[in-house]
Amino acid sequence: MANDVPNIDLALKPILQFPDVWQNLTYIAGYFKIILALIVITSVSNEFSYGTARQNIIDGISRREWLFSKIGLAKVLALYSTLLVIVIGFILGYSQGVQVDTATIFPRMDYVLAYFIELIVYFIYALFLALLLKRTGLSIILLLVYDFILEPILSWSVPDSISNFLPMSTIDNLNTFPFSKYLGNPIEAIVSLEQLVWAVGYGIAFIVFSYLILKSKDL
Amino acid sequence: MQKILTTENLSKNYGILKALDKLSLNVTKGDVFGILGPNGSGKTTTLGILLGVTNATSGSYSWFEKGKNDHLRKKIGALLDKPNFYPHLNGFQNLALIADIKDLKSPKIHEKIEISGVSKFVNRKFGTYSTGMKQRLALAATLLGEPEVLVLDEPTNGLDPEGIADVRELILKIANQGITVIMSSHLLDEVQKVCTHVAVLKSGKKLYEGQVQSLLAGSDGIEIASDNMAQLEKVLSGFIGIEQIEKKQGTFKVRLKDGFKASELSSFLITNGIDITHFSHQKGSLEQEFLHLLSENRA
Repeated sequence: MANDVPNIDLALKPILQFPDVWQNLTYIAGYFKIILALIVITSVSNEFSYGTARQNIIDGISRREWLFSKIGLAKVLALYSTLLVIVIGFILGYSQGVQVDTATIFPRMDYVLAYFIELIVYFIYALFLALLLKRTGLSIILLLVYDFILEPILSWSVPDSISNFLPMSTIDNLNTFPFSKYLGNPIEAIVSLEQLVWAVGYGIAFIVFSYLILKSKDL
Repeated sequence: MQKILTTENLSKNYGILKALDKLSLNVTKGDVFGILGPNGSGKTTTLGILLGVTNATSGSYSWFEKGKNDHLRKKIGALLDKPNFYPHLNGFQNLALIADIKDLKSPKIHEKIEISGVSKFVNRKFGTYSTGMKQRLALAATLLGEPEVLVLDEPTNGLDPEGIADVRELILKIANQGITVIMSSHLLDEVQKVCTHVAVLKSGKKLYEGQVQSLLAGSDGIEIASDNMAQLEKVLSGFIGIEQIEKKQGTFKVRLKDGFKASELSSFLITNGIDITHFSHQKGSLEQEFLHLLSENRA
């Protein structure tokens, strides 16, 4: 078994050292966004099952204001997660017992910004699904099915130049699997500006779609 | 008088079903305006459009002569359909949240809790409330922010007789303070007891709009019977003040035209040699008028 795997001593690799820690940590943390997306979905669809969305509008806020209050929730969740990742990153980086200075700490912190964008766009996408379906269970199923089944199938059937810019790939490509470099394969060490622009574009598009859904429906 | 609400040709279609068909209404400050109609006549649809949760297919409306800006609803206390609150928050927290939405500086939440009789359970989670408690909390919520107008959809729905009496008394108390009330109901008795003005809807169409008093005027009915019914019918049809004659289980039910009195009819019958065995004058009720309106408009 051991001879199938290249012989690497992980302890010698700077996985948790500055500046690698930012890229590696945000990549791992990215997987936890699904759990937080469930909070967004539950919060939105509960507003419909309790009739409180309807009541909020009756009490005098506009549909646009209501939507932005939910985007506010997405923003808060993304912000707190990002702050948590920054704190954990500093703790891990400093605990490696390696001499650090500003020149080694900050270089890859663009991945922290990318992580924030990744989360907020993903949460807005979850918000859009919940508004579209108005049912917690259905929205969660569609979120998972699209993320793990539909888009991968779609990706295989179109050329890379297109599949890289499908919504989930766009978000995921902000931080691609970083650990292969420790096996000797070179990887991107900077966030792709093009992917970042596409991700923000998707975020705006999902907000616009959400607004159109909310505006056209009877609550 | 200041116009509180005007609607012009409001219509709502659900597919081919016309839930609301060109409804035009005028509500003036101080009115207690009842929207009366059987189930499915478009009452809730109307209120839903006026409160911004249902999109009208066509037509327009205006609150306080200022249009339909979302923020105008902050001056409206509204209870639509059923009480909607966050189940994991208690009554007080729910009210505080609504006060926040309505931008109230000093919301007087405790005062409204007293008035609507929710003080006993206001600290319990909304999820544990009974139907009556929910309805009372919803009424407390509508009173927050000293509204200029209350919009109530079937306000006594689901309440026990005591609760119904309380709510009616509350509505009258509010109306006496000069606050305009717009309420829907399928309970004729309720509208008759509480409202000054009424609009009668059927299948989304307005059959009548005006004062409750003028709807009831001239609606008195007279029941007459005689040993000789054939002769009675003949003589009755000769009386010029007759609006309508209806034959009913051995009696005639007669409605008189405006300006004719029951006493005129009885002396007319006696001078024409009818032996009257039964003559009873029945005060008009909204129920009779309502059924009359509905039967006149049977499509």
